[in-house]
Amino acid sequence: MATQVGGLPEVVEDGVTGILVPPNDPQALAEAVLSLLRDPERRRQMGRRGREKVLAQFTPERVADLSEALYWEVLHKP
Amino acid sequence: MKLLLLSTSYPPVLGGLQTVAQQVAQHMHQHGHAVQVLTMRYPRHLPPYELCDGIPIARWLMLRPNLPDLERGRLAVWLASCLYYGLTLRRLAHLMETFQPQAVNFHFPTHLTHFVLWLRRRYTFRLVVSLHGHDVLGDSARTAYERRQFRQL
Repeated sequence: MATQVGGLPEVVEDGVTGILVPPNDPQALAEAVLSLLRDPERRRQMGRRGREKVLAQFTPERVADLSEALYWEVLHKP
Repeated sequence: MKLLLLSTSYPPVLGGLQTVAQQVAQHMHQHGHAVQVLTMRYPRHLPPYELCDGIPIARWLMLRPNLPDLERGRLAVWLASCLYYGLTLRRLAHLMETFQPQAVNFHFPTHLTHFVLWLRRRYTFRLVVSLHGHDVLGDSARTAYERRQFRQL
């Protein structure tokens, strides 16, 4: 679960890899917690998808590789 | 490639920014690039210079005179900033002239933005700015001067 601020929605896809709630809305956060508590299968599914997404897009190796590629790109720009 | 990695904070200070900056530095070093890390000396007990896994880390007190400090009666901070401002510029110039980075990766552009803009006016290099979240979301906490500088990056 995460709030819809900053880069969090990049990682947490609402209803797929987690649940996004509006910032400063404790009621929405509480409802999201309860909905997951009541549905263990959904919890597992979101957890699995979240892990897959992180391994595919956000590992340290991938972030560093992308950074290096970006450095080369800007160095070769006219 | 010669890369100057300028990060507001760096390990052993813990956090997402610090972790990412270190991982990028280590990756670049392992791939045979020359990497120099420059960061703020905070907390103060950290050494000003050290070599971590073959990567030179410089930690400086990078201060610049900030009018709000004077308005809040923080005279000692303001005076220290005046002293360290000139020192920081001289150190930056020395670093740029000796290391001669082709690329500068600036992480978490907040109060060090002033120094990066100063470098851009004086030296030729490619700048990559890495945003981490609060450096964008915290825009409302900046002074008008800092907001203007952020947009100049």
